[in-house]
Amino acid sequence: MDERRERPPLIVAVLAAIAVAFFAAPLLALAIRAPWSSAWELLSKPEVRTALRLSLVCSLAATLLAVLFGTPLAWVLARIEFPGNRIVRTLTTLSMVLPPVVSGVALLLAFGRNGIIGRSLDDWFGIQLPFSTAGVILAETFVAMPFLVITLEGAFRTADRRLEETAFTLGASRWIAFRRVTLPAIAPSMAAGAVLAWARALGEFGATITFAGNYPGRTQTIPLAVYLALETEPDAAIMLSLILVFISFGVLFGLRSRWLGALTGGIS
Amino acid sequence: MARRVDRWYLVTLVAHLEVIRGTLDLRVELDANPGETVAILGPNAAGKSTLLRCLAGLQRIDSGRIELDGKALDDPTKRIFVEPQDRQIGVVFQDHLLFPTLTVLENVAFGLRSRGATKSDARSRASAALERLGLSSLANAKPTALSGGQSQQVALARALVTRPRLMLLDEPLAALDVTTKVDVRRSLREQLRSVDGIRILVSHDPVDAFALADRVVIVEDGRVSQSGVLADVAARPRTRYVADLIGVNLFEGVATGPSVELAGGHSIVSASVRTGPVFVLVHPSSVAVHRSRPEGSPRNVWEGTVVDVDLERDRARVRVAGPIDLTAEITATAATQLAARPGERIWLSVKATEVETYAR
Repeated sequence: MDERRERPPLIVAVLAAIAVAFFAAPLLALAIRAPWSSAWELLSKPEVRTALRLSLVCSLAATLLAVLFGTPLAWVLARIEFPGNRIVRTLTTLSMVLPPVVSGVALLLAFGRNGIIGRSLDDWFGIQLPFSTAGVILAETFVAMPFLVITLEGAFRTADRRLEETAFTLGASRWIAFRRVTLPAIAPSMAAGAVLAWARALGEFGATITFAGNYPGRTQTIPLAVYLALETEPDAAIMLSLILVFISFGVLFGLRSRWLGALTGGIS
Repeated sequence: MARRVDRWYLVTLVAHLEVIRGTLDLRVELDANPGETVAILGPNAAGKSTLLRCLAGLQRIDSGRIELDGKALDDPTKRIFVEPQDRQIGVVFQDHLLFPTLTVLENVAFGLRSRGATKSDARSRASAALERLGLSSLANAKPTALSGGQSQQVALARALVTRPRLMLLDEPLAALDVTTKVDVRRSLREQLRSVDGIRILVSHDPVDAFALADRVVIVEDGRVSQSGVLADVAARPRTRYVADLIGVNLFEGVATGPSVELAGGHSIVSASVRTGPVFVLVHPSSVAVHRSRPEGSPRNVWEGTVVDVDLERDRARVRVAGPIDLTAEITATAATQLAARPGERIWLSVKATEVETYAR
């Protein structure tokens, strides 16, 4: 039976249509109110370009860190039975649901100049994370990594462990078995998780402005620039917002068709 | 008896092990010689697969020792455990477990590559192995494109190409449909013969065991209940499970002369004379079925109730409950003439010369 051909009951169709309109209207408003004639002029301003570059650099760095640390974490959560593993799982994904500004405050108390770790970093290595580009990356990693961890943990759970065992019986070390058997099996999930984490990092605002502040060229990413420009230069704010909308739409659209399919079982 | 002496100096796999996991309590002794195929046969959840996993190193034993060619693979008291990748083994799993992201050729080359062969060397040896199987045309296919029989052969080739000392097969034919099974069984037998190492096969299907193995070890409830050369085990079953596998009637009893008193209190007369605890074996084909009490010489005559009648092509198996529960095998024609339906009373007779007894 082709479910697409099914006709929805009227009430369902009306409610669904309202939901679609609810999401579409704000985006449409952005597009309508955008100063298209001066778009290029606004976007070629050096401070806009700087914010854009900073956003890309920081979000990609955060994604890399999320993959580097999140992959082993997801593996441990999926494969190792240890006491308190539910607590660890909750702890490492908490920042997904925490208000970002709370994450920012918490980061400040940990890695700030007087923070419990930050003080030592400053004393011993002269490293100051808050209000630096590194601080932006740290804040973005903090809120984005859980997206990768959750996606990968599921993938590690569903990956057939017997395939790894088969690799062992064929003389493969754990590393070779992981690289040649497990990694190819979880690759689609890893890509999906990384893209989700990247999109979250790109849009990060609350934790960033709290922990890293709003210094153009150093910590001012596009979301921060949008917020700032809204007061002084609404046209610029709209254009910057549209850029984020385009990027996010593209990512999600591509993800839906290519990778989310693999996650939900159907491979398109 | 000569075999016992042979084994004493040819033994290369010696295992006695104990594993307790959940409801499974496995305590088994096993040995095997090079060039020999041993089938581990038993009902589901008897511990067969766990035993295989212990030999492969995928499961540690709790106590005991597994030794291959005089070298310990697993010995908890001496804190020895050789990881699976360092054992000279080849394993074929029930679902074949080909690596789905690799091509058929890469699958077969996998073991050679991870044991240090160069890429080109591994690929040429893997190609040669595929060619011997007539599967060259599938070298670049992904495993999902293979039929059940083909994937079984690729899994076997992948394990064999590394020339393992110990070859382990877990229900190698179970995932195949009936028609494929016959062909694959034949080619499997030929290929197993070409391995000079030890072959151990786990199965719940006696047909596979009889077709592929030289010796069987019956594992029931985590213990070896019987083992030996196939013909011996078939001729002298010692448990209900084995008797059912071969399709014979088996009873336990105590013999005094020709008469054997069975567990239920009833007696059966045998032509052989023994004393003490015995097994009593009656082939279903030697049980005669009658509508009324038979006249003449048979010493063993009972009346019973038909439980069910199974038609198998030209034969019919009639299960009868009575003082002694027996299964009779008669021709389909005889069954039609007899027209026995479940619940009806009929008479059974067995000649004393058809009642075999042997010591328990």
